[in-house]
Amino acid sequence: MPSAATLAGMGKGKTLQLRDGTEWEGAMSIDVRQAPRPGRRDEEVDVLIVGAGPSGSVAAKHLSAAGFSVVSLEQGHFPDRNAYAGRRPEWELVSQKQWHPNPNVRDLPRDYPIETSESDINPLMFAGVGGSTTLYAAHWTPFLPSDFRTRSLDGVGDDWPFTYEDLLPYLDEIEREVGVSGMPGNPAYPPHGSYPTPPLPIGKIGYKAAQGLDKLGWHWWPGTNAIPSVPYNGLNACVRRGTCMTGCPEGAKSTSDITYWPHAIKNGARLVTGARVREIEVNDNGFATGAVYIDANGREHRQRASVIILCANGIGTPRLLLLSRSKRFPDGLANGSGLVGKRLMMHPFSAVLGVYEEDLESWRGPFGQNVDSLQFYETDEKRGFVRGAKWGAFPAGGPLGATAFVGSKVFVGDEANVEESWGENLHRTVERRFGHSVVWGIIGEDLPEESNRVVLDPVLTDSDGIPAPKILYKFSENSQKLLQFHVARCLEATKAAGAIETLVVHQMRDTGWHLLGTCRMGDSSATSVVDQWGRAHDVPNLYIFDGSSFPTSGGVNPTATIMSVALRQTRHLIAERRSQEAA
Amino acid sequence: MSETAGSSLSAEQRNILGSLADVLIPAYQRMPAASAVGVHESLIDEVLKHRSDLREDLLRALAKAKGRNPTEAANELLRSDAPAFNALSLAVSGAYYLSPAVRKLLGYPGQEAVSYDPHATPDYLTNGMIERVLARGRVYRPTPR
Repeated sequence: MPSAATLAGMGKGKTLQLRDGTEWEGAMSIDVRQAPRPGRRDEEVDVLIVGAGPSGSVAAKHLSAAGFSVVSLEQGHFPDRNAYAGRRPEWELVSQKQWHPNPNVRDLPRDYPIETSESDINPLMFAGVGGSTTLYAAHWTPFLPSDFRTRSLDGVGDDWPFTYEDLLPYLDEIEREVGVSGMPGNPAYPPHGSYPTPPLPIGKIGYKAAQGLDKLGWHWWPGTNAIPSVPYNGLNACVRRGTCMTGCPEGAKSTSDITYWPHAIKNGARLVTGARVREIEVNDNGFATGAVYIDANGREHRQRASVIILCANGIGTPRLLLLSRSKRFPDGLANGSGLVGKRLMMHPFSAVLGVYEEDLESWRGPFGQNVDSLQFYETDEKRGFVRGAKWGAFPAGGPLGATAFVGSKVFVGDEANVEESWGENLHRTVERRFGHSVVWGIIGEDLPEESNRVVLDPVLTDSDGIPAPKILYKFSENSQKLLQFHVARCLEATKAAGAIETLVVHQMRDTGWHLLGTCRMGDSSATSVVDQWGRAHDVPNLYIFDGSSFPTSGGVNPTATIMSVALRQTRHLIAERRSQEAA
Repeated sequence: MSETAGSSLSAEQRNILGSLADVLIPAYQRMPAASAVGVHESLIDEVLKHRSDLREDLLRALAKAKGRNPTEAANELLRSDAPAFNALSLAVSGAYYLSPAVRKLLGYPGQEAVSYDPHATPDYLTNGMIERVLARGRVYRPTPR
């Protein structure tokens, strides 16, 4: 380890001074009302955070509250709620383009393109303050105890360096900040306290979905969502508009632009939007010194910092590390293990559409999960695969939703001629399905495999000329068997509820919302990129707080766990500030 | 085939579009045909205002259909030019379901706000549904010790 200054002065509410052996005064002595002034552009700050999505926002709020000087660089912009189309008649039309979750479909200047010709799943994301949660469905499904112990329990994946119980206090705190709505007592989880807001109505579609599971004696539970049912922490109450996945025009879906950044900015954190980072720089001693970024006008800047935290998601973070090659780090920054970019997990996904005689008003929201089921979440080796999946019941949207799901046209047969799907048959389809449909989304656990990975594409670049990522990803045999089993059970539940028509989209392509595993955490520098606190084994002042550090993926939506892990790591960084080394 | 100034379609293009639209969405029972609600008139302009990305493929579809039987032309597009057919069909169906008259017939108010009482007791708490879930006990595996 090269000699280095320690960050004894970090978080004292003054410009950072690097001094060996400086006496530490402790975080708890800081009055957060005496937060540091926002830093100037050329000023070295205590902490630079790359990415203002869920994990970066957690870090920014809590570090700034503890007195650290913080700058966050976000390639997208602050969202404009009025731009969301949910209130307008053209909502379904634009959800298939401008608000599609696939950046390659949107093709907006702030998105970077992704080469996906060798991937079975398209990665989905959004560039902006709030990150990909701008377009998420806000399903609030923390990882379960077994998710942290897949090696011990099932002989696959890897055990995490900590347990469900270790993470639980941080989850509780995050849920209070996020404004989760839900019904306590879910027997799919260990006993857990109440949620800060009451559960949302599950609606007619929720009752219909639950009916089938109830008949079969299978688990279901009213949906837990990052969507408050009453005004909370800057959020308005959900009005069940049902357009959650194209941005909430009510400001009722919990995204960090509403729930975190106002606090962080009040604490003195500086948020720079339209700032696309192209490289993390290091000095001759192997310490990170800052980031080079390009602003919205194409001008290049440097932001120096004592500590750098990457929160750019499971594709953006390894992309940036691979872009940050140097003489000292010829294979990419923090890549001594060779694992940067590898073990990409995106969750295989299938959907089952059930159509019912009754009018279910199935365009009504929330487009979070109305009910969910974890009946087949845990491993049963008799099924021929390991691990499991979560089912979440969604509404089906407007008339165009009769054949589409989250912006992609999927519920159609092979069209040999126009008359099969159009003409009078279109009318019959819409008449039968519109208002009468429930969609079950099935999220399967993705096991880590080094062959599934993010690399830099040799040709494709973003609008600033920076090499774009390329995804190499194949469905595993376990994933295929898992989804086949779950689809078969889901069809049973759908029919038990009385469906008159069912359709399946198997291994749907535009479903890579969850980008995990590409910089895994672990105890050994030979087999992991960061330690359990997110610190890079190879670069002592470089951290990764986003989902790329996850050793395994679970089979649930990961935002709750990403934010909880980020809070745990942030708290550790604050507590250990006096031993933190910097350039 | 030339188009008129700005983003508007020419009269000829609108005629072709109306014919193709009625192949894709004819009159059926209570539902009107696409052209009867003006899909090829103001509604297609509305669609292209929001989805200008469809324009190029749509215009190609119209050019290929010029002078042809609309049913044959639509099927030929489906077989030989999927991007053009997809743009045509999305533009036509998107325009049709923008029509207030069509929405009224379907009973679709749009994605409206709905009021509810967040503190009301949900039916599942009183009709036995949740009780049965709880009675079956936990479905998770605890952390191994």
